[in-house]
Amino acid sequence: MSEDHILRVTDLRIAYGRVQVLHGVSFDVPAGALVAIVGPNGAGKSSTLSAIAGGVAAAGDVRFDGRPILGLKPEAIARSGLSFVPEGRHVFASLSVEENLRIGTFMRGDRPRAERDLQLVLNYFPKLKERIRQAGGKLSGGEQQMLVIGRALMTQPKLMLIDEPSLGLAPRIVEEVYAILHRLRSQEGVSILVNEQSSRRVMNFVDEIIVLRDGRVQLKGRPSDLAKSHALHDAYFGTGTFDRDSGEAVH
Amino acid sequence: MQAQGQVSTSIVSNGRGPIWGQVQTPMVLVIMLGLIALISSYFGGSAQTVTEMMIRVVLVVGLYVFVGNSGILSFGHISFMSIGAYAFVWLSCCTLPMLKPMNLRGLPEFLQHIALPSPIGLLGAAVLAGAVAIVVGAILMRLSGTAASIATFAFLAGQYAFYMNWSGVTGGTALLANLPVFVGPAVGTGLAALAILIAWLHQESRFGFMLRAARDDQTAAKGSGVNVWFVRTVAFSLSGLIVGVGGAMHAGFLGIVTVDAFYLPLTFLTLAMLIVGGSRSLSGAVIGVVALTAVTEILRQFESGIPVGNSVLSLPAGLQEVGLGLAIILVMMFRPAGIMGGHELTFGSIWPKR
Repeated sequence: MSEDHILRVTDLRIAYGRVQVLHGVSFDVPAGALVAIVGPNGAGKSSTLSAIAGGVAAAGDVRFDGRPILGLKPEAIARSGLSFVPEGRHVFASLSVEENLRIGTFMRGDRPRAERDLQLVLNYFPKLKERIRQAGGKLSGGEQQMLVIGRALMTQPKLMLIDEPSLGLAPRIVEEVYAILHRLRSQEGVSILVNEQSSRRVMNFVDEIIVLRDGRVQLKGRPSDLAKSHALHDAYFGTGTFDRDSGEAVH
Repeated sequence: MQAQGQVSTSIVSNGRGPIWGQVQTPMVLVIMLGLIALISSYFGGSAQTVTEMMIRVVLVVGLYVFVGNSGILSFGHISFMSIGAYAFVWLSCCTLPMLKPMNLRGLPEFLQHIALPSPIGLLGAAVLAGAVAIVVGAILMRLSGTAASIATFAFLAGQYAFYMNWSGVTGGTALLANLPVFVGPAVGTGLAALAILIAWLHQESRFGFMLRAARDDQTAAKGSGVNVWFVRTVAFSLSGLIVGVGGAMHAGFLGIVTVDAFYLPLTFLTLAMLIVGGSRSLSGAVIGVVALTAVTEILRQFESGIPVGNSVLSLPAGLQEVGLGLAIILVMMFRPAGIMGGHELTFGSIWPKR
């Protein structure tokens, strides 16, 4: 049912040298959904996103929009409509905000469309509009995060992968960023997959949570369902026992 | 994605703001070089010094196209100068028709007996240097930052050794003379202006932007769909082509070439000029040449003696090199990002607004 799922990850395995970091991870991202992968440090969250975006060699099967993409080059994957926002706010420090945003449109010829997308992104991120001529390196942390998300948006992605958008941001800014992501999903129909350390920050905004620990999917489900039981807590910290399929805690 | 809502103001075109600001840079630089050439000739300055400076502008601007925008140091660009200079020799040498068959016996028959007009020789230099740069760039740009820099050095050493030993075609260690001399202050200034214009067009093109994005953050550039290898190869090729023109200018200015001239001293001098001026802007590349040329020129005057009253003040020989080194150290101490520090010259920055 590739029509309902923008992304299907099946049995994804990654090893750095002899160290296996992902032991067969499988999950789907429904089209038009905002999904969060949550897990502690070293769970394999970043590796998972990098592998999907083509930055890390991996085994298994990844289908984006029904097409297998594992093994393609990062820039080819980006051009097919999957945009990756790596961790750590990678702005182009010497380019202006506007130039940062326009980079994503250079590879396609459609100019009027690019202008419209620029206006659209600036509508979503009014703070960027105020700083349109400033160098990307001179922005605050929150603004830089918005800039990289806005830049990813300029490539007209069907799916955005965002690695730890809340890292190093004040709680109020995190709320702001997630509110915008939520609106992008509802109003533009962009599917979004984020990584986060803390499930608490994303609970109110996402459609689905996937708990990853020790390179395995421990649990997945809707935040409202997960909130009811202790399963989320158990899955995250590895305490207690639970049923992996249903997410129900087993005592 | 659907555009929802209308934004009333366009942020892209605010009057004659950004576009005008960018066009000013090549204009200011060319006017500056033109004035230097004019003033120098008016006061009876040395035409040689001016011409030599213009050739170096071409070389350093060519170097800037790649090094400045990509952030990757290249030690190999003087090779393209050598390739350009010898391409000029093969096509346009010599003023005495019997010299080529005598000195360059290994040349193909059709090249042995021709002496094409200098502009065609210059064009040939650009084409050959550019073509070699495409091949070399396509290979070297698969490497990342430091590895690529070291590889450019290996290329310089390899090309140098090759031309040194390719006696039948390059004359080897011998000096080739009687080349047509066609580069003076006017032609030099014109070609320097052309190099500045090309470098500026590249810098403001999407290739320039994508290249600088990859310099700032390679991971993010790839994520934005930028083919880093491709934009680097484009810049490397264009850069090699411009430096190749500089080689033909060098040959068409001195009237002689040796393989020896295109090696380490010139590599380091051009890199020093770029870094002292500020490698992150086109203005930096040009200002670096002008500044270091001025320093060497002043020191040269002192070395040959300056009349002070009844006596002649003369400083010891070798002062030029020492003074040049000192100037570089001072600039690097007080302006680590170079004199221009990544900024471009505009009319406004020369005559501040009231």
